[in-house]
Amino acid sequence: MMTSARRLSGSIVGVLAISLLVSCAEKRQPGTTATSTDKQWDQQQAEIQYRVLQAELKLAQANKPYLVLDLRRNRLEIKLQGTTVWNYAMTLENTGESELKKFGERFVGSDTKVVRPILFKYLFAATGKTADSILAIVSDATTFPQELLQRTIPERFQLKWSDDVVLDIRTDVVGKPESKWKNTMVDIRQAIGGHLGDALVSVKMPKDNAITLYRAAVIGLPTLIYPAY
Amino acid sequence: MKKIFFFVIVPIVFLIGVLVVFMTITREKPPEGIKLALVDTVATNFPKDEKLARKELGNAEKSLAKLKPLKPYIVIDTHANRIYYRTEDSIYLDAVCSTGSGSELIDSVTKRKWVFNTPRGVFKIQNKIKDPWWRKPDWEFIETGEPIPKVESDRMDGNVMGDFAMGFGDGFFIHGTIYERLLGINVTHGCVRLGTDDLHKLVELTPIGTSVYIF
Repeated sequence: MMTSARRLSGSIVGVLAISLLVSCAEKRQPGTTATSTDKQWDQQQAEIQYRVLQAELKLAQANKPYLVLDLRRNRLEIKLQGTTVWNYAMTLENTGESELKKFGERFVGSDTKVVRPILFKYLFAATGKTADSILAIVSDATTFPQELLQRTIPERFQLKWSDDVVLDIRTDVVGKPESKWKNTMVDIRQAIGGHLGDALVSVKMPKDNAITLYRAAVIGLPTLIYPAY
Repeated sequence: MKKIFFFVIVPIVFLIGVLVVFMTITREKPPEGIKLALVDTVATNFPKDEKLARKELGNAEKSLAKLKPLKPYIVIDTHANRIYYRTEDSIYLDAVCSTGSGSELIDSVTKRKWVFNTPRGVFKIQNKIKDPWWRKPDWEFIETGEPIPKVESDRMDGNVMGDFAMGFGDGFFIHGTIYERLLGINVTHGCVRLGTDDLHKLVELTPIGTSVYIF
C-alpha cells in the first residue's frame, strides 16, 4: 500500500516537474534564443538577429534619426547614432499576438529585409495644437506666419511600409476627419487586405507621443525591425 | 444547371471582379526616389559554425552597445517642443521648451537669407554661462526693421536670455526666456528656450561635455 502510494506521489511529482519545464520553455522571452550568451541556439534566428544588428550599425553611422520597431520588447523607438531619443511602450489596440507576429514576418519577408523606409503616412483625423487666437497674437508678435506655428495633434494616423505593412496609431484626441470618404475607403481596403495577407497592427498612444511620432515619421524614414523571435 | 450558373457562379465571379478592381484602384503608388532596401540585408557572411556565429553576434552586440552614451544625455524633441535629460531607460527631466520656427528671412537689400531652424544631430555642451548677454545678430535688426548698429555695444542685450545659457556649438544655446507663455511653440530663431525653473534644474544636472541629441 505504502509502496504504491510512494509510486503514485513520485509519478505526480515527475509529471509536475516535466510540465513545469515545458511551461518554462514555452514562456521563454521571444528574441532571447539567438543571443550570443544563450544556451539554446537557433541558427536561422541568430542570422536574422545578426542582420538586424548589422543594419542598425549602418543606420547609426548616419547623423540622421531612424525608427525602430522592437517587437521583442513591444517598444517603438526613434534613435539617433544608436541612442534612443524617443521611445514608447506599445499599448496594442484590437491586436493580438498573432497579428503582431504576422506584422513582423511580413515586414521581414522571405528575403529578410530588416530595414524598410516609410512609404506612406495617412492622417485620418486631427486637431490644431494651439488655439487660433493664441496663434494670431504670437504670429503678430514674432512676425512668423500662423501656418508655421500651428502643429497638428493627430487623432488617428497610419504609417505604411512596402508589402502592405501598416502601423495604425490612435489617440484620445477628438479631431476633425481629413476626408470621411477616403477614410472609409482606406478602412475597407485594409479590412479586405487583412484577409489577403496584409499586416496591420493598431497602437494606442498618448497625444504627446503621437505628435512626436507623427512629425518625425517622414516619408523615407528608415525603419528597423527587431522581430518578436 | 443554367440556374446555378446564372445565380451562383456569375455573381461570385462578378464579386471577385469588383474586389480585384477595388483593391487595384485603391492601391497607393509609392513615392518616387525612395530606396526600397536601404541596407543590403540579404548578403551577409554569418558563420555556419555555432561557436563562430556566437562570437560574431557578440561582436555586433558590443559594437552597437559602444555607441550608447555611458552618462545621461540631453534630448531635444523639436517636433513636440520638449527637452529631456535622460538615459536609455530613465528620464530625469522632462520639460517644455521652444525650438526654431523654420521660417525664412531675406534681407531685401543684400539678399542675405536666414532659415530659423534648430540644428538636428548630435552635439555637446561646450560651456555654461551665468547671466548671459545676447549679442544681437544682423537678422534681429532686419527683422524688426531697424538699422544695423555700427557700435558693438548697441548690439548687446542682457535681459532676454534668462539666468543661464549653455552653448552647444555654432552659436546655438539652451537658455532662458522672458516669453515663457510661448514655451511649447516653435518660435525661436534656432536656440532652445526653457522656463526659469527647468533651466535651473537642467544647468545643475548637466556637466560640460554632455551629449545633446536633437531630432
